[in-house]
This record gives sequence, C-alpha cells and structure tokens, in this order.
Amino acid sequence: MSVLGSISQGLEIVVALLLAPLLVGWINQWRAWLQNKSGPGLLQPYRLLHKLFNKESVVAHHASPFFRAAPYIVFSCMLLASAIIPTLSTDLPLAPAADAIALVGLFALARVFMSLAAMDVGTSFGTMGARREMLIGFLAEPALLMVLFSASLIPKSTSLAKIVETIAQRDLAIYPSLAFAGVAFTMISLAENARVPIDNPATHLELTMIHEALILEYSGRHLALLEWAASLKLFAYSCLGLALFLPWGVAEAHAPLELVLALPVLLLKLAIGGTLLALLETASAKMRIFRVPEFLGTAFLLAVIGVLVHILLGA
Amino acid sequence: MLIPVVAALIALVAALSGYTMVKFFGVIFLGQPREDNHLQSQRASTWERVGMVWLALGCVALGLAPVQFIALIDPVTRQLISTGMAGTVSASGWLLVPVDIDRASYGPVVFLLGLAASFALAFLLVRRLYHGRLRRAAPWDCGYPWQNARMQDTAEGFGQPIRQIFEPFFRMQRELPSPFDREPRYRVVVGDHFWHWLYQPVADLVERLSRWIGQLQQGRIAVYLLYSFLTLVGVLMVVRR
Repeated sequence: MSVLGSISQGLEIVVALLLAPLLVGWINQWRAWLQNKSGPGLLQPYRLLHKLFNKESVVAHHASPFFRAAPYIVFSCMLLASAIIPTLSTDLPLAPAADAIALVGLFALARVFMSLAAMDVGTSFGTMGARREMLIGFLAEPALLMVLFSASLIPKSTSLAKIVETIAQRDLAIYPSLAFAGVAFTMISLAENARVPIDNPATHLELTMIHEALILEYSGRHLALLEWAASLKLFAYSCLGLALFLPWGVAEAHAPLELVLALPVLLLKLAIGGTLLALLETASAKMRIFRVPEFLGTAFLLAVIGVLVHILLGA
Repeated sequence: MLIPVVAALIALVAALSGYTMVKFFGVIFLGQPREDNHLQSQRASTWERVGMVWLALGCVALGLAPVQFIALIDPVTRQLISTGMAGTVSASGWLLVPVDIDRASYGPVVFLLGLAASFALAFLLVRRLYHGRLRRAAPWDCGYPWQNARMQDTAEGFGQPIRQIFEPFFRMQRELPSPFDREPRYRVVVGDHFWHWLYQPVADLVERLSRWIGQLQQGRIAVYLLYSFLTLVGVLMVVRR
C-alpha cells in the first residue's frame, strides 16, 4: 500500500462525500430550468442536510433499535461503494477487497437493510415501499451484473480498477459491446436511483412512490443520513458509468500528477452527465409499476447482447 | 459464453432469495403483531436462542473466512472434478482470489471492517457535530390516523409482484373479491406447469395401472388358493414331459 494510494483513496472518499449533494443540486437545478422554473440553487441539498441534522429525530413508539441503526448501515454501504469505484484514480488500496461482483452485493446489502427498516414500524406505506424496492432490486441486479460482465470481458478481469486501466489505455474508439452495455447501464441506474421513468424523487404522491415510501417514517438526522446516502448512490452510479464507459482522465498508479487533473475532468464529466440526466427525466413520464419489469428486462437483454457481441466480434 | 449467463442466473436467484429473506424476516419479526393472540407471545428462552444463534454465527464465519473453508472442502472438490483451487486461494491470505489477483478478488474482512469503521465514524460525527435528540411519537404513515396492524402487508401481499411477473410460469387459480361482496373472499392456488404436464400424467398412469392390478387382490384366501392352483396347472402344462 503506497502513500500515494492512501492519499488517492482518502481523497476519493472526501470528494464523494462533498460532491454527492452538489450533483443532486445540479440535477435538480437543471430540472427546474427545463421546466421554466427558477430552481432552488445548487446548494439546496447542503442546506437540507444541515437543517435535517439540526432537527430532532421523531421515531415511532414501537420502532426497534434496528430502525435507528439502518440509516447508518445504508450510509456506510454507499460510502464504501464510492470508495471502491475508481472515480479519480485506479490506485486504490481498498479496491482488491471488492471487485465488481462485490459492489453489486454492497448495493444489495443496503437495499435489504433499507427495506427491512421500512417494514419495522409496520405501516402500510412502508411495507408497500419495501415490496416495490425489492421488486426493482431483484430485476436490476442481474442486469447490472451482466453490464459489469460485458465490461469485464475486455480486460478479462472483474476488478474495477483493472477494467478502467485497460479501457483507458486503448485508443478512443466505440466498442459495440460497451455501447450496448452503456445503454443498459443507463436504464439500470435510472431504476436503481429512483429517477423518473421508474420513480419520481420529488413526489410524495402516495400510490406511486417507491423510495420516498421507504423513508417515510424517518426524520431528523436519520433522514439526513438516508438523503445523503441516496445522493452518494447516485454519485457512485454516475462515477461507475463514467469510469466504465468514459474512463479517460482517471489517474493511474504510475502517474501521480494525473491525480491533480482528474478532479476537474471528473467535475466536467459529471456536469455534462447530470444535465443529460435532467433532460432525460424531463422528457419522459413515469411508468406504471408493472411496466418496470419490461423496462429492466430490456436492460438485461441489451447487456446480454453486449456480452454476445463481444464474444462474436471480439470487441 | 455460458459463464456470464449462468452468473446472471445465479444473481437472479440471489436477488430473489434476498426478496424472500426480506419477506420472511419482515413479515415474521418486524412490524406490529397482526393478530391479538400474538400480543401474549413470549420471548424464547436463552438456550432456545443459543440453538439458533450458533447456526447464524456459522453463516457469518463462512462469509468472513471463505479461504479457510475452501481449503477444508478442497479434498471433496478434488475427488469430484479432480482439480481444486485451495492452492491459489490460500496463497493470498485473507483475500479471496479464485484465479488471479488481477482477475477477481474479494476481501470479506476488509469489507466488514470498512463498514464498521464508517458506521462508527458516522455515528460519532453526527453526535459530535450535531446532537442525539430523539422523540417518540405515533407512526406518521402519510398522516393517516386510523391505521391498524391489519393494513400491513401480509406474506401473500409481499409476494404478489413476483407472482404477477412470473405469471406464465405458474398454474395459478385466483378468486378475487369484488368491491360489493358482503364477505370478501380471496383465494389463490399456485401450481407448477411441470407438475401438471410432466409428472401428473405419469402419476395418473401409474395410479390407473396399479388400480387395475389391484383388482386381482381380493383379500380372500380362497381366491389366492385359486391363483396358486391355476399357476400350478399352467406350470404342469409347460413341463408335462
């Protein structure tokens, strides 16, 4: 474990923690602009977190300690996920501990804890949210794994750092298998992050909400942690997508100076990606819950086609 | 080619089992008691719980030290497929490396330590920078005040989306109540296509055959004596020389 590796690891965690709310603020701002509204400003998520942390937590009478522990567990999962995704550098001491498959498991762990916590108080909305979240989860997980597999076929490794290094070293070209995988990944991240065609993060419309139904009983610091975890998840997914499909600019182990350049490049990529996401969300309508299996089934199919294309064409 | 598809199938199975785990754990242990007689239930005694806990601890140990367990079961793998991976696995210590460090790796202990550290750090920082105030109140549930324990999902309701999605794979008979029923009744019978089209015909045939053969068994000694007599006559006709 080198000193530089430790620095880049620490820097990644700090950058993820600090930038994740900003990404959400950026997307919300763009969504507001695209709807001809003035928008709350980029810093609104930070203000929200600060406000929520200052408020006292109101917990139901019969909530168990598990209910209070779950936000910390979910937050830790998302933090660890952003630590092992090579956002700034591929020289990460934590990276060998978890490859792409373990990353999927980490997201699943967070999902299971969040769903169980939603069922803990025993309200109708909580259980409904848990059921829907698990539904989307079990459809999205195999598709996400297929996407990661089709990316891992190029370097023949499931280690995320290795994938990013190999793809970044190649010439700028469009790989057909990665193109399929990229489209599938976009669809999966929309579903996993409760974005518009699947779920609307801005609504509390009772019969359609998924993510908001899960966190309905939370308030104060617990809600703040869950909101922060949600933004960390969005950040982690965005960085994973950028690292797999547009890895240029990520620093490597033997080039420490690139680390200085990696941050502005990442900011630029995230800014463009966030705008595109807002555009996608504004242009599409939310779908019925039983359309979601078709949507995610399409994503799975595209990812399988990506793997097949790689095996047939070798690219 | 087959490996990624099989891996995705395993992921589907794992995710489905996660769904089931959440369903069972959530419906059985979480939420409010759904029936009145559940209110009088008591905790299991310590020894009863120990009987469960050591099994759970075994699962955790298996998850935390896969390398050591793979070394333990390696002789079995060698006997079955005449190759094992204990050598490559145990070479890298606590990191689970099936083939090569560059290809795939997983460090469960690092994982757990990382989770525990960020949990503790988040907890302490929130307490230090802000506060730990807590107030107990009635559940919120979008402000609906008349909710009761019957409004929670049952196991039936929790599994409903799965049945909806995989409907073509089941033989399902459903009786849904209409909004005007005085006494609403819901009934669902979930069957299996394989059972119905593959095993059931064979079972029916075997049953019909055995019933037909069962006609021979009258349960009276005179009939069985008659069978013996007829057999004897038959045998004598064959070996009459």
